[in-house]
Order: sequence, then structure tokens, then C-alpha cells
Amino acid sequence: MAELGIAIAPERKVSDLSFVEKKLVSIAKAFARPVKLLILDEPTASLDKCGKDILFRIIGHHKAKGMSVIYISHNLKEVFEICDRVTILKDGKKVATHQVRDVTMDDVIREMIGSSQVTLYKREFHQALRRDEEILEILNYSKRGVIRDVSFKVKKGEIFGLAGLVGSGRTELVRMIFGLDPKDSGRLVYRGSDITPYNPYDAIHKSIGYLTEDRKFDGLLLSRPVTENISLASLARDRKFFLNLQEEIRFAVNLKQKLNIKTPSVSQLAMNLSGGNQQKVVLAKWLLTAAEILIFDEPTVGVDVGAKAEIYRMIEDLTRQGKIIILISSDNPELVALCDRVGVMRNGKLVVILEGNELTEENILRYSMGVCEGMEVQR
Amino acid sequence: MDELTLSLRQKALREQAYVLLILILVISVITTIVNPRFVHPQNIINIFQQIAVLGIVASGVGMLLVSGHVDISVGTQVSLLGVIFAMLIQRILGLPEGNVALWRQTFAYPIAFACTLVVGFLVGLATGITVVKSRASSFIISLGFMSAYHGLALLVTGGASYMLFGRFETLGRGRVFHYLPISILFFLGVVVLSHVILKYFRYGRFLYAIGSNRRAAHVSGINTDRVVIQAYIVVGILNALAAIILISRVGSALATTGDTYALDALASVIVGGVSLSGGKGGALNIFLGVVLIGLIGNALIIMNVNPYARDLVIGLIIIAAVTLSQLSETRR
Repeated sequence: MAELGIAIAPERKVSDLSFVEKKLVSIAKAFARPVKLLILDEPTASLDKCGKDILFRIIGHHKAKGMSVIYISHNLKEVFEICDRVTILKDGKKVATHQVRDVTMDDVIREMIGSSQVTLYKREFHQALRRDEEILEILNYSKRGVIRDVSFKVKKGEIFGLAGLVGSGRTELVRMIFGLDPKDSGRLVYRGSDITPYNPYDAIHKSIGYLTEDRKFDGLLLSRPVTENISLASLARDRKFFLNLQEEIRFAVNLKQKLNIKTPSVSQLAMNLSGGNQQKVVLAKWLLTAAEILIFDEPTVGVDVGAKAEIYRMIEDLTRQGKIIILISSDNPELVALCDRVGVMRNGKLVVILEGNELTEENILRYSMGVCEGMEVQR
Repeated sequence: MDELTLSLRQKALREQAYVLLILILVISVITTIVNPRFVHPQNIINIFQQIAVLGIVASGVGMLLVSGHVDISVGTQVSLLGVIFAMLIQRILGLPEGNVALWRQTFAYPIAFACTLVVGFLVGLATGITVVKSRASSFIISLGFMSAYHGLALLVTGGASYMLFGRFETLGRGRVFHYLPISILFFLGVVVLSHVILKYFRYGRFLYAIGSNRRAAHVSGINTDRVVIQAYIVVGILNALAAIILISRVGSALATTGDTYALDALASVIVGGVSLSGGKGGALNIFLGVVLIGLIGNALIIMNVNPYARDLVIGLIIIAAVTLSQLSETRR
């Protein structure tokens, strides 16, 4: 480690180290044996300026000694700072490889977006949104080291997108809004009254729904039938002693038809459904609660194209009913096609809200990565 | 649509029930061939009388396991509760020769009943809160409580046994119409109640939801901690009922009288098909599992096998049941 210029006493336990120190140790580990090729996957994601300098010094030093480095990064500034050549991958395919000195950041961004962008979905309906109709206010959400003072307002019948790279704090933010995770500060105001939920039960009572990021992790009861999955949140809300099994099946069959959930029967176990249909089941669960405020976290991940379009249509239909929708997505074309406005998050901060002509894939990507004209990169 | 709603799920559970029924039949037939006395009505009633206490304990354990939680302290819970019940009776009524005041005669049983049930409630509450708040494995936490309750029972008795002197036999040995043991009625009542809770109560649905995916249940607005604590309380109260019936049947209470019920109850619900990871199984599974385990004990005695072989056989059956269910789950 001395050779690498990392000042950490070797006898210290890793669990006692700071986050940055841990990262440096894991980098040092890669040098434990002679290395010809080093692959670094987003190595600076959690490093501070100082750690980054150490890392870049190590890379430069070993590069001079003949080591090859593959450096995977979302951070274009770093790529331009340290790399010789850059390869752009998109949807599992190689787009191009360039000498870094021959291209500009703008060129790279353009290639990341791609030229032959087919619009997956065309929104039919845009509610005439008026400024004075901002009815949901997200105020000063903060959590040390995760979220930094995020505030924004959403209008009735609006789809508000949240864009950003993985780890930018989008999911963390909405989990706090839903009352799932503790926060340091933050208030939720709906039509002028404070509705900040303190747990999911409270949130559902206050007419908020949250479709989680990973349906298998905390969305579905995989070993239970579709009916029970659909009725779960509504059951938790209504303080009834007995179940109404007939009504439950009726509701489930209704939603199955409405959302075109493909399953031979609503008493099929959720685990036997395809990804798209599983997602529709979780969607159906929140539709049944008739929530006014719906938060969708990556609703189309692992969903086939057909089901995707159906989910889009469903979300759009909700705006017609005047619901408020917050949509997290890492699929930028999806955000551009679907949202009225998109807030871009970066390192736990809401950096910009894009709308109208400004709302383009290119802008989303720029702000997500902190590459913006006239704006210095903030870390 | 109705034709279609009869889905794989019901089929799978039914298949499991069929397998258990076939097993029960096969064991019965073999035992009958070896010793025809097995099918004598008296023996059949004996079996049910023997499994009544087990069935009540297993119903609580089964409902708890549906939520994905285990309680292996139920055996020592039953011992402790039995000791408390017998001790209270003896304290209030004294030795049989003495004269007993009328109020004592009137209130002895209600007081002992109420106290035992309250202690059962508290025992369940303590275990449940600890499991939920520690966020540790319920198996390990209840292992600790198993030892703690055992120690408590020893402290209460000081190692002595409390005799009832035949004063309270109705519940454990009494019969309706000179034929049907009262304890069987309690057993069946608890099984039916479990069925209703699991199938028709919102609470039962929450147990399945938590057992299937605790995080999803939480996001959907279920107070998972409270539901699990309540499930432990149900276990504690059912254990109190089981302990009273057991002590009434046996006629005396030792600090270890109920210890074996932990293994037997767990074996019953697991063999019955309540998944160890939770979210699966119903009252029918619990009932058939209890019958199977009770049957094996009786069959071994009737067939004149060394009674010490019973635990060996039950252990092997648990291992086989868990292995088979794990294999079939992995294949999915």
C-alpha cells in the first residue's frame, strides 16, 4: 500500500475504515498480485477528490509501467481526464471506439443517445397544466450522506419524472417520501395540508401508492396467488376483520381484464407469471387502493415491449383521472416520452427540472453526469 | 372462469394432503396387519386423546410458521404453564385431606385457568417482542427462551412435582356421552378455529403475506411487527390451554412434563406441509401432520417396537420431509 501511496495502517480492520478508505483498500487488493490488465468499474463513484487523485496517480504510474486499464465510468470528465481511447456501449452493443483526443464530450453524449431513436410511445394526452395547480409539494427532504435538501412540486394530472444515474438517490428519496425509510428532514404537503407519512400504512391512508423498484424483493408475494397480491394494500388500509373472498376475486378479475394481465386464472401463483405480468399485478395492487399520489419506481424494468406499452397507457390513463404521478426511470427515452417534467438527480441533489423543449435525452444525460455548459461540475 | 380458478395452487396443496392421507392409511394398514388391535375404536380414540394436546400446540406453531417464524420454546412453555396451573390449584385447595373453604372450592379452577392463560399471553408476548425487535433469527431467539422457560419452571417447582390428587380430571380424561373424550373436542375446535383464521380472517391473510415476503407486506401497509407478535401471543395462549389439558390428563406437573411437544409440534407442521420459509400451508396440513406424528407413536407401541425408537423415526421423518420440500422448491 505504501507503494500505491495509500496511508492506511495494514493491521486496522476493514470494518473500522471510512467509506473512502475501504474503497482504496479494495483497489489495493487488485494490485496484490502482478497485474497486466486492470478493470475498474465506476471506481470513483464514492471517492472524494483526494481519493480520486490517489487512484489516478496509481493508474498513471502503472500505465507507464505497461499495465492496461479498462475504465468503466459514467463520469465523462474522468474519462477525458485519464483515458486514451473510449468505447461507447449502448443496449449491449458497441457503438464506436475513438481516440479521446479526437472527440469532444458532446460527441460522446450524442453517440450514447444514438441517432436512430425510435419513439417507443407517443403520449396522447397532456393535461393543460397550470402553475397555480401545484398541489403536491415535496419540501426539503434530506438524509445525511444520501439526500441533500430536495424540494419540488407536482401538479394535478402531471407525470413528474425523476432521472439520474444509479446511486443518485432517486429510490432513496421516494422511499422517504413514502415513509419507508427514516429521514433527517422533509415534509409532504398536499393541497396545502401536511400529509408527511410516518410509515407505509400511514402513507396508504393518505392516498399514496408506491410501486417499488424490484418487484421480487419488496413488491410481490411470489408464493401467493394473484388475487392476494392485488388485494394486499387495500386490505391493510381497510380495518375489516373478515375477508370478502368473492369481492376479492371480482376485483382481481376486473383488474386482470383492465390491465390485460395474462394468466389462466387469478388464483395462479405470482411466481408463475412473466415479468411484465408480475409488474402489472403490483400495479393492480396500487390501482385498487385508488391512491391519488402514485410513485412508480422503474415500472418497466424487465418487462417485454408489449407489456411496456400497456403500462405506459395505464399510467397515462391515470393522469386523465387527475392523479399525481412521480415516475423514476433509468430509461431516458421513456422519461422524455411520458413525463411532463423531469427532475434530474445527481449525488443526492435535485440539480435541474427539465420541461418543454429542454426535456431531451441529451439534457437528461448531461445533467445526470454533471456535464453541462456554463455549469461547473459539483462533487 | 370458475372452472379456471381451480388452479395449480389448490391442486398442489390438495396433492400434499393426499400424500399425507395415503401415508396415514399405509401406516394404519401395516400396523393393523401386525396387530389387529390397532383398529379397535378404543385405540383410535386413544390416539386422538394422545394427540389432542399436541394438536393444540401445533396449531399455534403452524399459524406462526405460516408467517415464516419459528418457536421452539413451545415445549418448555407448556411445562412452565402446566407447573403454574398445578401449583395454583394445590396452593388454593391444599392437600386433599384438609377442609377447604367454599370460596376456595368455587374459585380455584377459574383463578388457575385465568392465571395460566395470562401467563401464556405474557410468555408469547415476551418471545414475540424479542424476536421482532432483535431482528435476529426466530429459531435462535426461541432457543434462548426454551432454556429460559425451562429454568423458570425448575425455579417455580424447585424440582418437585405438583399433584392434583385426581381433583381435576374432566378436561383431560372426561368423555362426552361416555365415549368422546372432551380433549378431542378442544383439539378439533382449535383446528377449525385455525382454519377460519387462516382462510377467512384478514389477520390470516397477513400471516401468509409476511411469510411469503415480509418486505412486500411492509410496503403494502401491514404492520408486520405487530402481526408477528400477535402470532406469538396466540402460540402462548394455545400453549396455556394445552398445558391445562395435559396436566388434567396426567394428574401431576413436573418441570419437564411438556418438553417433548416442541419437537413433535414442529415435526407435525413441517411434515404436514407448512413451508419452513413461510407463506404456505393451512389448517388441514397442520391437522394431518399432527395425526401422522401421533399415529407413528401409537403404531410403534402397538407393533411392539422399542418405544425409544420413536424419536429416531420422527427425526428421520422431519429430515425427509424438509429435504423433499426443499428439493421440489429448488426445481421450480
